Amino acid sequence: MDKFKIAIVDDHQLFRDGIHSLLSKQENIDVVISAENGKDFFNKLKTGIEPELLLLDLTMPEMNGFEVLLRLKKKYPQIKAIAISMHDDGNYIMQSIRGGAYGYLLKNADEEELLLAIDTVLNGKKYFNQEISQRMINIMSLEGVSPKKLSPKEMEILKLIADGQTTKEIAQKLFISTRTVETHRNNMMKKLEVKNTPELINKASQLSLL
Amino acid sequence: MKSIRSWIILLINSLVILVVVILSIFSYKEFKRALDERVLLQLTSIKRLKRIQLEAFLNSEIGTFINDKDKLEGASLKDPYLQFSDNVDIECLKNKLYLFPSEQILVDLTSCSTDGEVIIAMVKKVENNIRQIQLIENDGIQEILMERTGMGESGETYLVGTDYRLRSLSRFFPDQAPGQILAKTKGAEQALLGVDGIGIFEDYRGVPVYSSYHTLDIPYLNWAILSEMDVEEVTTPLLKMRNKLILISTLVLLFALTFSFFITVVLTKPLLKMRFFLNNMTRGNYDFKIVNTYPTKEINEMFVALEKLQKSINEAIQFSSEIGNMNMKAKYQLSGEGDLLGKSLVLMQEKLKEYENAENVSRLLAKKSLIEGQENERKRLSKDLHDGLGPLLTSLKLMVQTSDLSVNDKKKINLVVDGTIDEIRRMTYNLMPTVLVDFGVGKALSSFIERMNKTSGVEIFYEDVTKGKDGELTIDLDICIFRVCQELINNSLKHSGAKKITISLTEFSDKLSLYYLDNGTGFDLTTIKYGAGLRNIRERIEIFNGYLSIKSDANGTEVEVEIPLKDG
Repeated sequence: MDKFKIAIVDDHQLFRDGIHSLLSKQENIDVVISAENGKDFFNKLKTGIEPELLLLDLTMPEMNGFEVLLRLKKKYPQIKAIAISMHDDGNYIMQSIRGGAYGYLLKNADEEELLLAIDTVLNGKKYFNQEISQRMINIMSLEGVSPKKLSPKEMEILKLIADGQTTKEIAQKLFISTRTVETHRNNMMKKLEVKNTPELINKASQLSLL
Repeated sequence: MKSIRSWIILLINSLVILVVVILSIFSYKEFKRALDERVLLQLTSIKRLKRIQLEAFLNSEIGTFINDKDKLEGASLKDPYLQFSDNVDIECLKNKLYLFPSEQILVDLTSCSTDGEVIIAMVKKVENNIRQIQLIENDGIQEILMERTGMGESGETYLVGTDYRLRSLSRFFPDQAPGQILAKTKGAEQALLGVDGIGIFEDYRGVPVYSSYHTLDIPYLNWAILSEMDVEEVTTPLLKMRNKLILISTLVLLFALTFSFFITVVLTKPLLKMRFFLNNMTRGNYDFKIVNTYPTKEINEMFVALEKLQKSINEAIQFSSEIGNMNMKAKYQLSGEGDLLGKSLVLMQEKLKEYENAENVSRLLAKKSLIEGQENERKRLSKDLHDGLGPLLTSLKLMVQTSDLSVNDKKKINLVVDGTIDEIRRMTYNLMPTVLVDFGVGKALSSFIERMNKTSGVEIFYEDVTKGKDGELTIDLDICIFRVCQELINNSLKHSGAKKITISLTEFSDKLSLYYLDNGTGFDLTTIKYGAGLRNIRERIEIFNGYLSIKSDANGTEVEVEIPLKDG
C-alpha cells in the first residue's frame, strides 16, 4: 500500500522536525518535503516530488502561506493544503479558505486532531473544527458583500436620496455621519460622472439602479 | 492759569463793554452834533425873521417920516428937544445932532440917555437946522422881539448897539434899562464887525448859550441882532439820553454777564464731563457709559469721537485679553490707518499664532514620535512573542507528544503548554494584533468586534467598507483607528452601559471616515473632556490631521472621525 506523501512548509526547523517525527510514527504517511518557506517549497516541487497534502504555515519570510495557496491553485491544484498557524484570528481563516485551503489548524493542535484533519482532507473532505468554523462564520457575518459598481451602502443612500430624504435624515437612518453621507453622494456622482444630485438620480434611473 | 469759565466771562464782558461804550459815545456825540446844528439853525431862522420884521418896521417908520409933508414943509423947530424926557442929557443930544449929517435920518441917541433907556429918533435937518425930530416908539421894536414862540424857557432875541450895550429889553432883566447892560460878547463883537455867524459861547450874563448873530441892515443904524438860547435848556434831553444810555448799558452788561455765565455753563459742563471721562481713561477705567445729549453739534461730535475712542480702546483691551488667553481666533477690526495699537496687537497675535503653530507642530511631532515609538515597541514585543516564543512552544508540544512520556504526563504538560500558548496569543493581541499588521484595520476591527460580541454581552454592529491591503491605509493609520475604536468601545462598555454599538468604517479615495454610535448614558463633554481615554483619541487623530467630533447626551454617544488620505 502506497503511503500518502505529505509536505511541511514552516520557517521553524524545530516545528518541522516535531511534525516530522510525529508523522513518522504513522505507517501510511511519508513526509517527502520539508521546506522553510514558499520559495523553498516550490523549488523542491520542481525536482519531481509531488505530495498529495501540504501542511502550510501562514507567516513566513520570502513567500508566505497565502501566496503559496494562490500559486498552488494555479499550478498544482491537485495538492491539498491545510493551513497550520499560530493565528487564531478569523481573518487568517477566511483568507486561507479563500485561497483554497482544505483545512485550518492551530499550531498547538493535539496529535489526534492533526491526524484527523490529515485523514479527512486526504479523503477529499474539508476539515475545520468547531471553534475555527465559528470564527469563520462570525467574520463572514460581519463582512460586506464584494463591491459592484456602486457599493451596497451607496445603493442604500441613492435610494434614500431618490425618496427625497435629506442628508441628515439619511445619516440618522443609516447610523453614519452626515459628512459620510455627503462623501458617499460625492463618490457616486464621480462614479456615474454627473455633477449634481438631480443628475445623479436621472443617471441612476437610466442605468436601472433605482 | 485761569479757568475757561473766567476767560469766557472776561472776554464776553470786555467785548460787550467795549461795544456799548463805543456805541454810547458815538450816538451821544452824533445826537449832540445834530442837536447843536438843529438849535443853531432854528435860532438863525428866528433871528432872520426878527431881523426882517425889524428892518421892515423901521424902514416903514422912516418912509412914513419922510413922506410926511407937514413935517417936510414945516419951519425949523424952536425947541426940538421938548419931546425928550428929563432923563436925557440935552447937551449930549445937541452935540449929537450938531454932528448929524443932513442926509441921515435915523439916529441912535441911547448913549445920551442917563437911565439907559433906548432912544431912537428920526431927524430932518436942513442946513444945520433941525426941522423935524420924531422918536420911534420902543414898544414897536420890543413887540417884535418879545414874540418868543419856539424859543423855550431861555431863548431870546435882542439888539446890541455899537457901544456893546443892549438896545432891547433883556428877558432876564426886564426891570433894568437896556443901556445899562453891557453885552461885549463874542457874537456881538463879530456882528458889529459885520460878520454873520453862529456859535456857542457865553452871553452877557456869563451863561453859555447857543447864538446866531447878524448885523441889522438899516441905514445909519449899526446894530447887531442876536438870537440866543441857553445851552443848559437845550442839553437837558441830551442829559436825559445820556442817563438812558447808561441805564441801557448797565442792563446790557447785566444781560451779558448772565449770558456769559450761561454760556460757560453750557460750554464747561461738557468739558468737565469730558475731563471726568478722560481722567477715568487715564486711570485705566474704560468701562463707563458716555451720554452725549448736549445741545451743540460740535460738543456732541466731540463726545461721539470720545465714544469711538473708548470703543476702540475697549476693543483693543478685549482683543489683547483674548490674545492673553491664547484665543487666536479673536478678530480685531482696525479703526483706521493710524491705529498703531491695533496694528501692533494684530502683529502680536500673528506672532503668537506662528509661535503657537510652531509649538503645535513640535508638540504633534513629539506626540507622534512618542506614540509611534510606543506602538513600534508593542509591535516588536508582539512579534517577538508570537514569532519567537510561539514556535518554540508549539515545537515543545510536538516534542512532548512524540516523547516516551506516559499519556497522563503528556496530557498534563500539554495542558500547561496550551495555556501558555493561549496566554501568548492574548498578550500578543493586546500588544498589537498580528491581524492589524497583516490585514489592516478593517479586518482587525472585524475580529476585535467578533471577540467583543462573544464576551461583552453588547451587540456591536460593524460595517467595514475599507479596501484592506489594497487600500491606501498605512500601518500607522491602521493602528490609530484601531486604538481609537478600542478606546471608544472600552469607554462604552466601562462607563455608558450601552447595549448596542454601531460602527461604520469607510475608506474613500481621499479620506477614511469612522462613525461610532452607542446607546449608552453618555457623558458630560465639559467635565470629561480631558479624561485620559478621550485625550488619547484626540491626540491620535490630531497626529493625522484628522477631524473629530464627539456628541454625547443621555441617549448615547456619537463620534465622527475623518482622516485625510494621501496628504500627510
